[in-house]
Amino acid sequence: MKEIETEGGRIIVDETVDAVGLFCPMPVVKLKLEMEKLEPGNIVELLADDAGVLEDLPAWCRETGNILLSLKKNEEGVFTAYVKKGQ
Amino acid sequence: MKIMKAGKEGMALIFHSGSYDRIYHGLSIALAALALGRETRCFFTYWALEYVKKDRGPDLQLNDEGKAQEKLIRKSIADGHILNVKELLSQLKAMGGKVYACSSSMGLLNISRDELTAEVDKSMGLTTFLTETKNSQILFI
Repeated sequence: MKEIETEGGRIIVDETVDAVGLFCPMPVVKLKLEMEKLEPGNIVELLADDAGVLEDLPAWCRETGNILLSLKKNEEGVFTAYVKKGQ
Repeated sequence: MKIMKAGKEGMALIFHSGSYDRIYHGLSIALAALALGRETRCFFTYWALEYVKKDRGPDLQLNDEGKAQEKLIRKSIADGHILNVKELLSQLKAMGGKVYACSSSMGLLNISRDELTAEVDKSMGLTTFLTETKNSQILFI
């Protein structure tokens, strides 16, 4: 667990999924496997450098009922996303 | 509610080619479907059956198209960017995907059930597969 400052305020991150170096669809696959272990309301931090996540992550959240809190790319090209588990 | 609705739209894939690039992509589609919460069934027939045999051949079998990029593919696997078939299959099973072997291909290629890996849920004919996948999108790989 760690506390992170996002544009929407401070959040508590329960788990981190590191998918850096993995191609589509593995970032979403790893995220889904982690989400299964958590409770609604828990937050996962996802790290990935496959540009596909920019579109895939919002699409995955829309279809599965999870909530994308934030998705940002840093200077090294790594995306960091915070996803809250839905009901 | 959304998740329940999505669960009814299944994904079905018929793996025919034994070329790694095709199997890799087919299994990637299967994994993406599973990540979306869709029921996913994979039917292995003909040259793809090799990958669900206990004494499977080389993991990187490529057709002519794939051979042109063999170096690139080997490097991507070695660097861990893409998974080999064995890893993809165990990931598929971990996510609840079903693996079926084509019974007539097994007969044609003289492969018995005992020769198939534990990842294979059952062997069946096309009719059974099509009844099981009535509410699924079907892709032929």
